[in-house]
Amino acid sequence: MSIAPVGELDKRHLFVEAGVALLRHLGIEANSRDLGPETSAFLHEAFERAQQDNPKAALHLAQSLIKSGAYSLLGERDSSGPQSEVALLATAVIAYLVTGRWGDAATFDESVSPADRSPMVHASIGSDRSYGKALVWVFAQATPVGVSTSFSTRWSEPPIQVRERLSHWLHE
Amino acid sequence: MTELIADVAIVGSGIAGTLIASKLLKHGLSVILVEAGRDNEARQQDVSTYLVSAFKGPGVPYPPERNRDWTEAGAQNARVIGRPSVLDASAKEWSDPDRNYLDQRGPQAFASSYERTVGGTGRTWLGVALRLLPSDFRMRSRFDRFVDWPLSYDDLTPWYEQAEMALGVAGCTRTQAYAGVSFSDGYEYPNPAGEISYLDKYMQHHFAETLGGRTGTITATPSARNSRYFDGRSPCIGHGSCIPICPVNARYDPASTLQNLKRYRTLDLRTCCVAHEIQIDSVGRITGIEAIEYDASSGHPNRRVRIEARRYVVAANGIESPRLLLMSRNGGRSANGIANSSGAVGRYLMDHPNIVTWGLLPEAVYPYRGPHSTSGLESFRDGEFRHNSAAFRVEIGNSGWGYPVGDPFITAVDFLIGSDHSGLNPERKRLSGEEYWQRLNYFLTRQVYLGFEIEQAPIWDNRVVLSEYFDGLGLQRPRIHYAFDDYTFAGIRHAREVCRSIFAGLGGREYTKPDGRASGTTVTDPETEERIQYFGCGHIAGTLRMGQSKSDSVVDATLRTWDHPNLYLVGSSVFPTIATANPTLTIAALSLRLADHLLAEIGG
Repeated sequence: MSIAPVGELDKRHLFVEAGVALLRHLGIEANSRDLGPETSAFLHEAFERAQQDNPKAALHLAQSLIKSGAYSLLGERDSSGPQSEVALLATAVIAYLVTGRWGDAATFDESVSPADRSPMVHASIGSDRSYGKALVWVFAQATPVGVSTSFSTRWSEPPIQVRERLSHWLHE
Repeated sequence: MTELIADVAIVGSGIAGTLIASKLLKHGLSVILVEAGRDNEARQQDVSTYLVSAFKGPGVPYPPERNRDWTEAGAQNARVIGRPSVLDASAKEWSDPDRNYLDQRGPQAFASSYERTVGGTGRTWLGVALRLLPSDFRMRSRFDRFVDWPLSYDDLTPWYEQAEMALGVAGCTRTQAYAGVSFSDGYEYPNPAGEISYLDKYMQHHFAETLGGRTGTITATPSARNSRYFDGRSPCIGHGSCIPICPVNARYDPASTLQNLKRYRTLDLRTCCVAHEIQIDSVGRITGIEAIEYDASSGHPNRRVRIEARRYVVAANGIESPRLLLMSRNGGRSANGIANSSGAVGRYLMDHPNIVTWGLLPEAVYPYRGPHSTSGLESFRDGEFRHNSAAFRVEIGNSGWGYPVGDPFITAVDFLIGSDHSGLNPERKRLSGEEYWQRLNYFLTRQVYLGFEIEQAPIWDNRVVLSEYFDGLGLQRPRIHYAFDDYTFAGIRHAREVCRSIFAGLGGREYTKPDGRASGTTVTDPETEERIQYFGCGHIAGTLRMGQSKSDSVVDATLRTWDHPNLYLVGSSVFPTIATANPTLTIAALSLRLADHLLAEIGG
């Protein structure tokens, strides 16, 4: 299924704005100017991946981000009533941003009991970059296994603090 | 049929085959090195394959890929030589030969895997380079258990030193001189000891403090990972992916050695070449090896080759080596396979069952950094308890809960969607914002895992035989029979007690729980009825045992088969007992010793 770009908007800009909204969900204050080129490219790739795997939902997400703002959208999952396809995708994108892995619907579908949901062990990894830049490594103050980063050396000493790592993540 | 001729023919290009070939070539002998798998020169491509693979375990970057259709049609269509995956043993269908390369008949699953590619399983090892203890060679004499090896620690010491040089081992002789281990006067490891982890230091400090030194101390593990530039390879910079691949080649990899050996015109490296019969004459001398060569792209067999040499060495692994010997029926003249007058070929299959435990420590120890493991607790590798209970070593893991749980990803998803696959979110909370990532930061920085690697008893009934199921080349696949005995279970119980003491002493909390879906690798301790999940260590041993008598072993102390004067076998398959050290360094030492023996026999 092929999805045309959303309106006349620059797609990369759209994706970066969406990424900022998702970061806000994680409590990370950022705006598009704060994001370095690497992070922007990473977010772009994340949304490209979302579009490939669930293009209809990705389009809805992109349109909703423009119309109503991602932050309120992401709050939707806490409201009563059935979970929308868009909110499902939003959760998947957050998980992708955090883990670098793209889970199937069974991972996030709230109609499935949590115990039965896919644990995402074997969820596909979008790319070596999505894996290496996954936020979970930042939260763990760790090094992506198999990837050399500026934080790779001196494992005998405590790592730098998580807020500093987050700052690096946003600007590198 | 194409005929190939050399001084020495070696089957298997892993660490054993590579080290033997290297020494023989340097002394002017010609070598045919037969490798069933494909050549694999593009390290960066292998690294990329690894990074985008969701599963980060052994074998990921290397062909052949895991095949899940082993029906007759599936095997023929795939045209694959096949290999096991660690995922096979833990799957619900672990005993279905239509779904797995190994035809596993249980009652338990054999949980280890191996590679079939240039470099063999040596492409995917952690680099741990421990020597065996002197008492490990004397289990019958010291503990009235099993058998003694036909050689001693002192006998092997010169080749341990050669092996440490060949692999570039980084270590400290002072900290390794325990339980009777000694070193030659003035001897030092070729690389200074590598950097240990923050977790190691925490454990060293608090372990001694909380347990009062009652059960020993934490020791940095000697490893074939460069701590400085050595042998043309980089120092380790902590990618943490030693298994299955080091992106900077800091960890010794026989494939790199083979690349260097290709400059010898006397080396004939035959890849995609599957040896399937070792042929004998009427007096038991080996006359040649027949093999099938297949196309690397399509998998289709191309031609048959016959290899002739003055001496033959089988250096595959503990499953493929006995398989080859058993397949060598010589038109019925050796119906039970060759080298098998004792009936021991394929018997005494052993591994180190790895009882993986995990928990949280009271303070941040910052795992997921540095090599997978940099230290261990060695105090239980030896002791009077070995009369009745298996020994074990404790690997301290730097990779958090990655190995047993799949973290850091699983915990991250748990707190996002309100599930509890990690065991850390029993209230199934969904968190967001700063609360979300602070919770992750708290848990992920306190995770620790301990791997208790158990000395498994050599049991006659644990064995490799030929299956009636076939691979893509029409060759019989291996069938495995495998179980633990009372001695091994006693060691597991002891390990569980020590584990509980460690977590209690450190003020931590254990979260170990068997994966209910891993039916093949979960067993019930017959005495305590505790459900225990085990992993394999990839240390496949015992199936071609070395011994002092032709009646109960396959090879003598020189690794020559009792039945065939020009056939030698090498690898952990010849270990009469498995002890507790990771086997690679001893495999390397035995290989270099065998190379010297061959040089003495046929010159150079």
